Amino acid sequence: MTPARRAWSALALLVVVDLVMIPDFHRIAWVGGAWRGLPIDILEHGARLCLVAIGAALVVATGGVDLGIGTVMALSGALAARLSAEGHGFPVVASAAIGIGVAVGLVNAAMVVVGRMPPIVATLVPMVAGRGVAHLVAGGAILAVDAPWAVRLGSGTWLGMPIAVWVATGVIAVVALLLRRTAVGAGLAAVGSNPAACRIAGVPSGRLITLAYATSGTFAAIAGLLAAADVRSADAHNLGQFVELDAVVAVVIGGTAISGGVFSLGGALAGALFLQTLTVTLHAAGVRSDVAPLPKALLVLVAAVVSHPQFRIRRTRSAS
Amino acid sequence: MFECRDLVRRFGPTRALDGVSIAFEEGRIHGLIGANGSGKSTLLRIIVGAEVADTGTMSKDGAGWAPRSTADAARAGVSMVHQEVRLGPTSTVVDVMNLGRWPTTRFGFIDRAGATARTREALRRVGLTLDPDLTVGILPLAVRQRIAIARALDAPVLTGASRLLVLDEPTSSLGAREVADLFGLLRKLAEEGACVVFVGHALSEIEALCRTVAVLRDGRVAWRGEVSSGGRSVWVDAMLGRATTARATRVTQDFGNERRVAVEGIGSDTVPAKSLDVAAGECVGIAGLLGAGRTEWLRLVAGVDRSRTGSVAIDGRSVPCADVASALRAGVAYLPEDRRRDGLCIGLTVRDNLLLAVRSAEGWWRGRLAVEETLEALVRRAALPDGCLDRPVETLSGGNQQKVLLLRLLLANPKLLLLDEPHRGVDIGAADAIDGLIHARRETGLSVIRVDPDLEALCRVCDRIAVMVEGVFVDPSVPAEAEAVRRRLSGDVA
Repeated sequence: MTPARRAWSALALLVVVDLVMIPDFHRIAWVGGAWRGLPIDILEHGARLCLVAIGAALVVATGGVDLGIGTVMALSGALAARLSAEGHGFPVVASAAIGIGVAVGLVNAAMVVVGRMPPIVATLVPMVAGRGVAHLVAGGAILAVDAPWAVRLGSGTWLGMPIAVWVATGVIAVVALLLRRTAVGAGLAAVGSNPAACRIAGVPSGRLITLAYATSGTFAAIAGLLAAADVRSADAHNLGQFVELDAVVAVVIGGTAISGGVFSLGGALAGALFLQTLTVTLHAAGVRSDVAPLPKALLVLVAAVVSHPQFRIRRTRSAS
Repeated sequence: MFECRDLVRRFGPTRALDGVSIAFEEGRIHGLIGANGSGKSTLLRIIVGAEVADTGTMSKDGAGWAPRSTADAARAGVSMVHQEVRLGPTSTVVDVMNLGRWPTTRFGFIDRAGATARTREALRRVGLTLDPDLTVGILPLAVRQRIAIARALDAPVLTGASRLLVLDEPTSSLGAREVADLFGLLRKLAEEGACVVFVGHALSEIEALCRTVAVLRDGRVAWRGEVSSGGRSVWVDAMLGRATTARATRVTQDFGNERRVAVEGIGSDTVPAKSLDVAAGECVGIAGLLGAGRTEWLRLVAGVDRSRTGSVAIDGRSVPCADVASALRAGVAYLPEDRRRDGLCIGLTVRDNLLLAVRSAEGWWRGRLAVEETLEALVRRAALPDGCLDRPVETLSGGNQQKVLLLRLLLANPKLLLLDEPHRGVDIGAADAIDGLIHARRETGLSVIRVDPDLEALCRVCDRIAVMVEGVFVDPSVPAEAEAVRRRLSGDVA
């Protein structure tokens, strides 16, 4: 079984447990022109994590890591809130927010490619500095976001499904299609697998790595917009906090090698949905939100170990 | 006196050492030479305690010698000086000199002042006066090497033990002046009673420095004796082996003055500039001993390393040597010698590995390429296992991996193919298949420059041989006969 399929199995198993344990889990109702219910909630709130996990998967494929995801979300949310408050329309707000994501991605790539910094160090810079900038942008306050676009993006529906789900699905579909129809995905994996061999084979490693970080930044910015719209406010301090870690966990559960070279977008998607379902499950099981991280961490550990490609090898070795 | 008797070391089915007996006396410098894979490094590692022989005995100062670790060996006066000091970039000279043996004060703390004084003294013995608090990383290579020697000599030794100093290719990255200085130091050490084992490639250095020489080939001592009783041609014969079996004679083609590829004065700061012409369909072999600089030069021609001087032209059109992708587009492809490190993306599928070079040439944003349709047929023709395209390349045997690497380059339709040891780690059957694939392309005009340590193999596939000695082509056009090449290699030209 491929690691990605194992991640989907883990997700399926969790859903089965939920169906048994949570009485209302299976109940999806058509209320006021839209579907409502716990699974829909998981999709709606998980859309952001799915987005950033896909971006993170591309970065991890090249052998890197993007720790700046959470702060890019905060930056994008704060910028959107401020521009919105200043009376700008959605096109300006969205392009500025996404622009900041691309910019941070390019800075990360410059540090990694040109500066030859280890990615975990390079992306610490936006991780730490980004929140400070977000505070500056927000003027030190929690800005309300109540423009019409935010209402529509945060609680609107289309064909009965939340807009956030459509946005994430659309964006991810475009990326998946591009990777499938071109050789870029193979290039990213090759760079992560053996940088020296890629140099000798003439692979434009720098450009591919830049693409990965820029995509990750873009997706984080879109996730930031969705998050701000969801709660109708932009809190520079809390928005997107620790999301980069969730993203890495989702990617690893999905069978992408943390050392690079092998990656699976589908797996990362399954990993992200697994995490989101777990959060909802624990909440429904009455676990207090301040202690929830502990059981969550334990389950994530199990999922990560089981879905990791090397687990199978170790097991067969110890058995022989 | 240091002696080993009948040392055998196996790695799986191969014997790295196959009964080596050798003796080193105090107060002398002993040369040790041999081609790649001759068992040199294994022998050295066993002597200094980094590895253990399967069978055989060693003795030192009249007693049995069986070190359990390199530290153990160092205490008994046996140490190896690597090509350079390999320690963290921030270590200082004092750190390096005292690693693992810091003097302590009576409270058990490290005695930095004492260590610094001792370091100064030890450095002075090898002719160095420098601040012990300098960072090692900023010092020139020759100085770092001297520090390594000082460290080896400074090791506290049990009383009565003689010193055995092993230097592994110490001159490979030194300039002529630095080499002369190093030799002076080694001679002084030998006069003081140390036993020095010098591993090198340049036969001129062995001749100038050593008292005795041992030549290893295929895990055995192929020749040993006093320098005066040998000579370069004797050693070259011993290293490469005389052709014992008569192979089917092959028709070499004489391309005369025709030339399609003109490599003009390609060189860099460390590689002397060299030129070479190749005709369409011609295969030119580069023969040279280990360390002659063949790989370094090939990498410059391929654009892998930045060339400082010179140019490459194919069909009169200049090839940009600045980066690999554009050299590849202009028709220059390079097969690296270390296929695991520099060649394959080991976890990726055979398909992705095959397409790596074409995609680099054609661009990664392009959709499905026309050549992808031909992969199945290509794989079948190269006798790779059925259905291997979507398997990770690491599941293939070494020979098949090498075929994948070669096919990757051939897919990019090169005009000039640079091969660096294409038979390395490849069984005979696959080696012949690889030569077959290359030969088929030569019929349609592919020019080849090939490096191979196996002189017989090189002469079998090449039309002529360019002989490289210590970084320069001493003769760019020797007929492809092992005997003639050997004579040029040993500088023994009639």
